[in-house]
Parts: sequence; structure tokens; C-alpha cells
Amino acid sequence: MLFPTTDFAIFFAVAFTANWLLNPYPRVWKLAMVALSYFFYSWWDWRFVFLLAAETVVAQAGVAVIGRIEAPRPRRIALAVSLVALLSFLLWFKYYGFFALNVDNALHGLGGGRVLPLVRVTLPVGVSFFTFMAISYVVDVYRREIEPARPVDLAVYLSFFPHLVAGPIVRGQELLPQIRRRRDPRRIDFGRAAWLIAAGLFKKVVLSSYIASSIVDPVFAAPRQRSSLEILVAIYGYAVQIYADFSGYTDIAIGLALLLGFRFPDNFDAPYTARSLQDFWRRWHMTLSRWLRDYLYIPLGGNRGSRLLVARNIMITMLLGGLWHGAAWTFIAWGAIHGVGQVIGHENRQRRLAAGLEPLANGRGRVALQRFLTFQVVCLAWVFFRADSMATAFTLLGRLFTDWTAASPLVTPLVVLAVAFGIGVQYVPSDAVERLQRTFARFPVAAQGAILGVVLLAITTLGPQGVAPFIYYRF
Amino acid sequence: MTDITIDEEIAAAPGPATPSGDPSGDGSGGIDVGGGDDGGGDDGGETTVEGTGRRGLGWRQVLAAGLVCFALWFLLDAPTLLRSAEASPFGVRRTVAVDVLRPVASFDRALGLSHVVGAADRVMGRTGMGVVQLSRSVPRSARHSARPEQLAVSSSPGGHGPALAPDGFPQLAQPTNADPLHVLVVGDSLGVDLSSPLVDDLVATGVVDAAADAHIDTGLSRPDYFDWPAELSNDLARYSPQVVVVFMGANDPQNLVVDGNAVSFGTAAWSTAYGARVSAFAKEATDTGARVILVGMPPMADPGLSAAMQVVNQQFALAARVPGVTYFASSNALADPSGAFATYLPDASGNEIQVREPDGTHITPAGADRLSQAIIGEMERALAVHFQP
Repeated sequence: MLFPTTDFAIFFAVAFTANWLLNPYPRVWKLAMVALSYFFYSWWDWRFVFLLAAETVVAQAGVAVIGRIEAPRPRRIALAVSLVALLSFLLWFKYYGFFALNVDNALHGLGGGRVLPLVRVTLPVGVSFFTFMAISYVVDVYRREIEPARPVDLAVYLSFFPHLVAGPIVRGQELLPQIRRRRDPRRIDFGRAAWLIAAGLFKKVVLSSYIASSIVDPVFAAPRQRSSLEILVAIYGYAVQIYADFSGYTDIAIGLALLLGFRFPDNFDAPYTARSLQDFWRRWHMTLSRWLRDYLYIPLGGNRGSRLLVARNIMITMLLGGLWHGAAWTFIAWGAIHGVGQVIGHENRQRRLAAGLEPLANGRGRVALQRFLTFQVVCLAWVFFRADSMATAFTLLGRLFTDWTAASPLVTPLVVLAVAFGIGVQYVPSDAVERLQRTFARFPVAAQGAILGVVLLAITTLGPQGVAPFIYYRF
Repeated sequence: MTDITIDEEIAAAPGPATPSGDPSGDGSGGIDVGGGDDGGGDDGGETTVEGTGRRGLGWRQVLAAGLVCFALWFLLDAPTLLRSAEASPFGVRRTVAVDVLRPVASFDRALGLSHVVGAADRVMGRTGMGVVQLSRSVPRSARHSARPEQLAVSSSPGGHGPALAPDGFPQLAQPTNADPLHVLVVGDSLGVDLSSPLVDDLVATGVVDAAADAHIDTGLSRPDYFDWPAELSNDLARYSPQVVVVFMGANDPQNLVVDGNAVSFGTAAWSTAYGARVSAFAKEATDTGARVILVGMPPMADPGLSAAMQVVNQQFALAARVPGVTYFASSNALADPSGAFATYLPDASGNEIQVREPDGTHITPAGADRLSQAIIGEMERALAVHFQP
């Protein structure tokens, strides 16, 4: 069930009450949380719960074996088998169709026959997220950073409904200790939770939906009919749309977790203020970025080795990061742009270091230029991320320069304002938000409820009818 | 992907990230209840969330705040909730929801709150859930009228009136860049999938001016939820199309209400009533001189839904027995050779392409392109015109 729906509101009211009533009884609480989370997941498709259960069992079996082995080589083999088993779920559900289609068409192009059957595989919601969480858990146990969890603790960790279908990707070492402890029912961080949920709903239901329907969807659906100005605004608009959609979702997830007494890691930190692509990835989808760093980039060798090896490691990480988002060449292209950009940035930094040059001064003009240029590269990559095909992406980019004189009916003042707001809000200082949360938290309880009721009314009034799913549900 | 050394990376990597709002950084959530009062209720003084300085609430207080929030929202947003309830499938749940919401919604209207929603819609340019595409190729003032008397007339041998196109309407003049054909595409969510590629392909011919108006979750079964006849009337007045392509029906296999009585889907009465709606919808367009192409729903992955689509398609096909209305089966483009559902189909070069989304219902962009070309081909046949340069 989607977060911004009355179905979920009713569900959460039940889950919230059960969470705190059962808080003094850890074993019962854990079973109840697993049951509630599986019920939440089954709302999309009851068959999905078998996948979630299977991955939980595989992860637990893997760490059970790893935990009993001391010799390094057998331990590595046990890890490899566990990872292959977990990845096989992801590969089948998410990538088999793409792989089979491209292999068959390539063979057909060479005059050969088709070797792989093309079957329709339903993509379970959130499979990329909980598979990555399961992998991080198994690897952390292998690295002896955490102890194997009890089966029910692992079941809660992987299925916990606030993060289940679209993250954030929470580490075992972050969430398992919280699952093992009882939470304090007297000190719920309602001020911050309410802010996160309200802001998340506004970003998703109002800002993202409006920009999508007003300009992004029409332009990306039929770029040949659009002027260059409309295409430019749609590209910037999509940058705001995907930020608002995804950060809105994770804000809600973090806020819901706070209401249940849990703390999730932040997932976004004003990404469009980044001064380089490296900086961008410290601010965008931070839990994915650190996952890729710790479980892919560093095991590949990270910054060790020759310049060529480092470049290879960066490219592999970013290409697979792109592929994680979807089984399509457009996502691979998106990853490639980020990879190439980071390799270039890395090379420039290394050259400056090798030449003994001082770091560049942080003048306002230089910082603004860096932010501007980084944002342009990020938006270029977003074109491929959003386009339904490589051909559409290139058509869009081509028409960006060819039709500046045509009328642009989609570029209205409200669209421009929405896009500008989406970018500008990232420059709001965090302490201003903190003060707002503190002030809100001081109001009487009934007043806090009333304020939220009015905010919710404003959001549902400004938002469209119907609820569009979060973009990242697809992943 | 940082520039620090591997030792620094490892030293930095394994530690838990600082959870949100927890400056203490220990990653534990910062809360440790060592027994004692877990039954809720604060201790009389103001409690603060550890490490933040923010006032914390007890869980019962949070529940109370939530109830106040939702109660207020429910009271103030009742008209919108009522509309959602009315749009839901007929049944007990809908009846109860509507009965509960209707008096509250009336109260809201008396307070003028429904005007706020309407004003917000107008400010944000929302006329519904539709996707409306406009071609820029011809200014509206130069639009060619679709009146039959302005259609090309060519004498048949013996001078017995205008020649007829295969669709039974008078033959159209061959469209040109200076005098393009005007096409309108309407539909439901599958219409959304189709409309942009179809409009794009039509405009790309250089002799067609096309627009689209598609709304998700709509159809002809529930005019109380979305009034397609009224919407079409507005579209006909606005765009004066010469051809209307209709691609909807996926949401229509549900009970109808006819003269206050429920008519169950799957019955002969349902087919009669629904068929009458389809015919009336098409007639609305043909009365203005526009011809109509009714595109049937493709087969679905779900056998039950596919069978339901057959029932809907049958009425579309029956409605095409009058001049000016053509039925085109989308299975010609979106089914395997046996007419069954297919996720993948070969393109012109023999490569397999994915034509249906993983949900087994909607159409991929590649599938929409394929269907678009097929519909354009049908349009050329039915109208006896030529689009391709």
C-alpha cells in the first residue's frame, strides 16, 4: 500500500498502537512487527512475501554457516555461495528479461537462433532494496563487524515496513541493536517526525506530481513536438521531480520510523548544492552510495592501484549502480555519465596533488560555478534516466538546440516557480529547519494535531486526485 | 567514492552512519529503557528526546495528536473524500463510505471549503487526471472545420453524390501540410500509454495535426466518476477533429447504474446498456462530422481480465456498424499469432521487443509505437488517405 493513502493511514494507526502496547514484551513485539510488515508487503501481491521470506532464510542460513567456520578459504566460499544465492533472486526477477532479450536479439542479428526463453517475470516491489540489505548483513557478519542475529531479529530487520519497499538501505549494525532494545515510549521525537512526514508528503504529493504532469511527462513522451525551452525546463523539472519524489518518500519513511521509536540514517543532503559529482554522491541516495562504496568499490580495490585500476573500479561501481535502478540501457548510460564524470574529477584532483598545487580557493564565484556545472552534468544524466529509450534521450538532447523560437505553452510561471522552488529549497539552512521543529514541538499536543490537520488538508488540496506510485518503487 | 586511502576508507566505512537527528552519533537510537515505566504517559515534567533538545511526546500523546489531525482533515476534506468514495466499486464499502461522508461534505460546502479545492485546481491548471497534448503545427484559428459540407467531393460516375470512403463517410481530401487532417485521441490509462506515441507519429507525417486527452482510471461505465461524454463534447468544440481515436475500456468491466438500478457485469442487460453508451459516445463525434476509430482492448495476462475485455470489445465492434465508425482490434498489433497475450513480439527486423509492462496490462513505449503504426495504417485504409511522405 502506498504511504499517502487512507489505507496506509489506517494500517499505521494499528501498527503504531501495537508497537507501543507490545513494546514491554520483546518477543511478542518482534513477531507482531514481522506479521504487520508481511501484511504490508502482501498488499501489493501476496506472492511477494514468499520472496521476502526466502531471502531472509537464505541470509540467515548463510551467516549460520559463516559463523561456524574459522578457516579463511572455506569462510570465503560460504560467503560467495550466500551472495550468489541472494543475488540470484535479484537477477531473476529484475534482469532475466533484459538479459534474455538482448542475448537473443544479438544472436538473431548474427544469424543464430534464440537460446533463452522470453518469459514474463513480475517485478516484486522493493526487491533491490531488501536484497541489498540482506547482502550487507551477510557481508558484515563475514567481516566480523556484527554477530549473526537471531532469526526473528533478522526477519524484523529485513521486513520492517517503513523501509521495506523503497529504502533507505539500513545497515544491520544500525537497526539490529535498535530492534534488540526496547524503545522509550515517553520520548518520541514527534516534532521531527511530523516535519519529515509533512514535508515528505508535500514534496511527493504536490511538488513532484505537479511538475511531472505539467511538463516532464508531456515533454519526455513526445519530444518532437516540444520547443527547446520546454525541453530545457522539463530536464530541470525532472531533476526536481525525482528529488522531491524520492526524498519525499524517504522522509516519510524516516518519520514513520521515528514514531515507532527507530532512527534511520538520512538519505539526502541537499544534493543539488554539490560542487562535484563526488560531492553529489555524498548527498544523493546516501545509503545506496555508501553501500556501493563499502560492498563494491572498496572490495574491487577502491583507490588502491594504478590510475587505470581506480578508473576501472569507479566505472564498474557506477555502471552497476545504474543497472541497479533498472534493466535498461538508459540506466546504464546514466551510470556511465556519472562514472566518467567521477573518473575525470578524480584525475584532476590527482594531477593537482602530484603537481603540488594548492587546493582551489573557495571563492563565492568559484563555488557557484562548481555548483552550476555539477548540476548541468547531473541533469544531463537524468535525461537518460527518465527517457524510455536511448533514442528518446538523444532526440530530447538534439532538440535542446534546434527550436528556441517556437511557442512554449508548457512553460508557465507556476511551472518555473515550482522548479525554482525545488532547487532553491536545498539552500535553506538546516538550523532553520531545526528551529522550526523545536518550536512546533513546544506547542500543546492538540495544537500540534490541529496544525498537522490543516497541513494535511493543504497537501491533499494542492495535490492531484489519485495517487501516483513513488518512482523508486520500481527499483 | 572518495580520495582517501584504503585504510581510511575501511576505518570510515564500517562504523554505523549517524542516524537521523542523533548528534550523539552512537547509532544506537540513543534510547535505552532499562525497565520501569513502559506503559506510556510522561512523568509530569517536559521530556526531551535524547541528544536533540526537542520536546518528546509519549506514545498516547502522539496517538492523540494523530487523531486530532485526521479528524480535522476528515472534516475539512470531506468533499474530496466523498468523490473518491463515489468513484469506488459499487458495494457495501462504498455505500457506507458515501453515507458517512455525504452529510459532512454538505457541511463543508456550506462553509465554502469546496471552493478552495476548486480554486486550487484552477490555479494549478488541473482539469482532471488527464494528459493533454497539443500539436503546434497549425494555429487553432486556422483549424479546418470537420463539417461534412466542407469535405472534398468528387463526382462518382453518373453524378450520384459524393464518393464514400471505406468507413462509409464521404471521402476526405488528401491532407497536406497546409491543410492537415485533425485527429483527437481519447482514452483511459492505456490511452495514456498510446496517446503520446500516436500523436507524435501522426504529427511526424507532416500532414496531421493531433491532440490527445486521456485520463487514468476512467471509462464509460462510471460517468458519476468521470463524465466522458461531457469531456468529449468539450474536446470536439475545442479541437474540431476530423477523426477521433478512442482507446478505453480496461476499467469498464464493473457494474453499471441504469436509471437508479444496478446492472451486473457479464449479463445481457449489461451488454445492452454498455453498448448503448459506446454507440452514443461515437455518435457524439459523428454528429459533428468526425469519424471515429474504436480501438479494442488488447489481451491481458490475467485470463479473467482478458475475458472481460472480450465482452467490452464486442460492444465496441457492434458500435462500429454505422457509417463513420470503424473498429480496430489492437490484438492485431499486441497479440501473438494466435491472438493470445504476449509480453514480447518481433519487430520489423525480427528482433524481439517488449510490448507489455510487467503488470500484464499496460503497454510499454515500444508496444505503444507498434500499436500507433498499426492504427495509422488502419486510419489510412478506413479514410482512404495517405499519410506517409
